[in-house]
Amino acid sequence: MRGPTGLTTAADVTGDVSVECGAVIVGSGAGGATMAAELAEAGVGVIVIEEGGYHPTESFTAESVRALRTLYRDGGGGMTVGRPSVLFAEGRCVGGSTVVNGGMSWRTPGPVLERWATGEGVLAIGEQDMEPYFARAEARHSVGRQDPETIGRDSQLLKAAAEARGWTVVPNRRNQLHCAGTNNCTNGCPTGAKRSMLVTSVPRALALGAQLFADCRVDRVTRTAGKATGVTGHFVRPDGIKGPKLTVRAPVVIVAGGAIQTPALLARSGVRSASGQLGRNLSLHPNAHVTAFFDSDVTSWQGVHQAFQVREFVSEGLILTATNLPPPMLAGMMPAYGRELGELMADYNRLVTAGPLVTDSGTGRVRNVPGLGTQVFYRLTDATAARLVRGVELTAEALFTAGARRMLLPFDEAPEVRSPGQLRELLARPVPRRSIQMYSIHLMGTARMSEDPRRGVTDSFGAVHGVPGLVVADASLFPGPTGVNPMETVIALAMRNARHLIERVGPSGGTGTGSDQA
Amino acid sequence: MAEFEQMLGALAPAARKGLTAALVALDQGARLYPRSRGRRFTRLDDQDAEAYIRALLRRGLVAELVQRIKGLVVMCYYELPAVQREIGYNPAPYIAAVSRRRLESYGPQIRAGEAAVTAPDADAGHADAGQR
Repeated sequence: MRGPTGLTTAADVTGDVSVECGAVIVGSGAGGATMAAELAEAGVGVIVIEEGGYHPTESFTAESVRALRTLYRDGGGGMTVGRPSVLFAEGRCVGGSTVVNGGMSWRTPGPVLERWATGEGVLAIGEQDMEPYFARAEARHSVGRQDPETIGRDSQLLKAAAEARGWTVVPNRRNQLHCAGTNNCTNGCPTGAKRSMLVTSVPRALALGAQLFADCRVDRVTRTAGKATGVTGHFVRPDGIKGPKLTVRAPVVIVAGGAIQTPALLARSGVRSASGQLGRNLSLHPNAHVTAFFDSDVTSWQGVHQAFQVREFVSEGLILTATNLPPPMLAGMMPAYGRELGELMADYNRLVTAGPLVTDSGTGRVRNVPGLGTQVFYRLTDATAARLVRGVELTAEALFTAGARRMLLPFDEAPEVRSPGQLRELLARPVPRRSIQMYSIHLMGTARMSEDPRRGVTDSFGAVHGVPGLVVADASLFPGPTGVNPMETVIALAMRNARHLIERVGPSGGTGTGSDQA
Repeated sequence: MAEFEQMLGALAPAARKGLTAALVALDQGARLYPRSRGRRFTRLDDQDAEAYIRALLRRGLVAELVQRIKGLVVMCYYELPAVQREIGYNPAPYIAAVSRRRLESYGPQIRAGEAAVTAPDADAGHADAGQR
């Protein structure tokens, strides 16, 4: 598939490639693409390397399984080690997870920034410091409310029920340019209305002279005398076979592979953090969902994904929202088998899926395990489990208020509940922690910022302590969970840290790029 | 089946190997299940197959593997257009219709927003001017 100028895919490459530039960026998601656009605009010669493929807007369809195979790492089937395990998904394509997320764009809450400043001594992270970066991020990605005609009935039902209960409900802020409401966010936006990196900062960086290598996996960050000097990697052929090698020499290496791949790459490159925090402190914002059945058609797949958020319980670390899942994903997660599953799915147009997003504590860890590759370990604490159960209960109560007749809860072997009384009775007994079915798309905290090298992997601006020239630019940086959807925080931090980097090293780090193909 | 094989191929190598082995074990392990009378899983009738799966779901780690396999199998099944039509899910015409509506309603704003992407210090058009 022919791509934009500056893009090189595995299909374009016949031999090993060796290139030189001012800054090499690993990953083209929210952090990497933003960094690329900012640095390119400042005149830095930028090369972006993306492990996934280039899939333009025109290629996106409602085929969920195809999307899982082509746009997500490992088919979207990441699982944490631990009981219960958590299903997690990472985008792997040009544009990264922004191509497949729901497009929620929220500023980091003030109290969270305050904790980062006081707890970890992160500099220049107050609300006032971040304001210009949030404003620019929102302008560049058209962040705003949804046009009313695109809001689906599932969102309207949850909103009406929450309001009837006196709960605070807010319209979701999304990075969208008159979103059509296709409800196809997780398969890639087929109109380009979702302003993912694929249609914003990636083309912007390319237009400003950056180069992008897609289908290319970075194996190591190279260093000389302790200083970052570039990366080595290889192109990946469509059948998964290793292709030609790529060597990039650059005085600045920016790693933006997300909170799982970034610490994994740094660790296999031999980077050690004096803090001992590299790969630790992983938060997931675990989600769970309630499946509620109504008497009449809701047709939740018609209308935008998550039009509203119930914010009444933010102080408890809970946000509730209606999240429609396409049939393949819903069937895959539904706690039913055989004939029973078939009967439940036959009511697909009469059901609503909704649930809590939970602020957790950083009890996860990313490790490279010989023979098994990168593994994610996560321990669900009693406090987070209790919060999840509370979120499920509140969601279910709201859905009964909305008129649901029966519900499936995300707990193994839990019976179907048919009334608020039955719900209360069921949840009056302890819910076994290991029975909770969870998933996550918000992965954070594994290379956290702190001015103190004994507490953090990077300084306040993403520079890795003790490794000159090495920078992190993704949600790994977060000292703790944001409690809201993290994309805008990643983008704003990348804008802020890019400016700091430009001021520190200037475009003299390398204004041009050069290449040799063997 | 082809969809399932492709999906299996997209998984991480360790997960792919583990699930492939688990699939063989699930199929052949049915021979040890009393109601199977020595038959493998793929030879069981619907009732016996369901009973066998339910028996496995009572066994801790085995249950997790069974859930994972089931997840993959049913994902591929519910991706089939005929199955989707049967449950009333037919997104392509809907997507086409709302995409047309978007262009008809907001064409100029959309074009301006898209052009702003590569403009200096882009300030892409806001979807909710006045509502922020």
